[in-house]
Order: sequence, then C-alpha cells, then structure tokens
Amino acid sequence: MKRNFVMSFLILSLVLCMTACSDNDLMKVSKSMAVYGTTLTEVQKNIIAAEKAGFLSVENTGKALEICERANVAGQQIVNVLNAVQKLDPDSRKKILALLVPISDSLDPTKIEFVLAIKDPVLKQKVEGGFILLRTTISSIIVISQVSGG
Amino acid sequence: MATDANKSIQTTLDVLNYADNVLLSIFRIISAIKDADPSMTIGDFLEQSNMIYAENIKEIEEWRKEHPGL
Repeated sequence: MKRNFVMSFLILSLVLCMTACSDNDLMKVSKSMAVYGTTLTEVQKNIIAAEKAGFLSVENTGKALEICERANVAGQQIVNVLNAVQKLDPDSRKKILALLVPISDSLDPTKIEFVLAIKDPVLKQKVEGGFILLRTTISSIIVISQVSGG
Repeated sequence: MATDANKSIQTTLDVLNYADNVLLSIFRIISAIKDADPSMTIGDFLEQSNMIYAENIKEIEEWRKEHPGL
C-alpha cells in the first residue's frame, strides 16, 4: 500500500510537471485527457491479454472491461464539456469533477476483485500499475480543476 | 535461513518488476506528450482524445462479441 502511494505520488508529480509547461488550465486538462485515454488503452490491452493467456476468467474480464468502458464514456463526456468552453470556468470545473471523482474511486486496484484474481504476477502488476497510473492521471486533472477554480 | 534469503530475493524481484512496469508506462506517457506536435491546439488534443475513447469502446465491444452471453 505504501509502495503504491509513493509510486502514485511520483507519477502525479511527473504528470503535473509535464503538463505545467502549457499556458492555461484548459490546455493542461486537454493534454491530460489524451494521456488518460492512452493509459486506458494500455490497461484494456493488458486485461484482454490476461484473459487470452488464461490468467483471468471471462467473467472477471467482463467486469474489468465494464469499468474501463465507464471510464471511456466519462472521458467522452468530459471532452464534450471541454469542447463547449473557451476556458475552464467554475461551472465546467464542477462538471469535470463530478464525472471524474466517481471514476477515480472505481479504479482503485486494491479494491477491485478481478485485479486480485489475475494469476500471473507480471500481468497482475501490469494491470495494477495501469490502474494506478490511470488514477494518478485523474488526480492530476482533479488537482488542475480544483487549484485554479473559482 | 536459506528460505528467508529466497523470500527476500523474491520480494526484491517483485518490487523491481513492479517498478519496471510502472516506469515503462510513465515512459510511454511522457513520450506521448513529448512527441505531441507543439502546434497542437486544445481542439486537436480533444479530438485525439475522443478518437482514443471511441477506439477503446470499440475494442471492448469486439471482445464482447467474441464472448456472447456476458
């Protein structure tokens, strides 16, 4: 748990440093949404690979992909919010947070039973690491959306 | 004694392997940001994101087609 926390903190710092180069919050969040999508792609691919290799049951894979699907749909909804604004105003920030916070909670690898059920340790770590990265990316978007809000 | 040492080595290997996987993912993400065309606008990033989400959802749907009844 402590290791996960330290790793998440490091990743969060990195993501924030990378996105800090852009000129405004809307650009930072837009870039982060692309990162979020790319990370989701990685996670999904690892989950499907785990099922194909026989390390994850079809039932658990279905549950895992359901969570990924919700995360993708939330991503699309956030992009729709961002497409409609010229800059992040309090209203759009609120909408983004309302979409992201529940998704972040549902992606906690220590609470997801199918992650624990992956039999191969390498694949398990890949999926776990992917989810941690995903949550960290979400955390960075939440931080950006909250910090300058108001 | 030997068992303890083996356990310790195994734990170290597990941690290194875990860190390796996470670092690989970080590297991919940093590369994705670094390789992004500097002239990319907010609209470009959002369009790219939407395409990624659509592809991801399509991949999930294709997997479901292969596993009917779920």
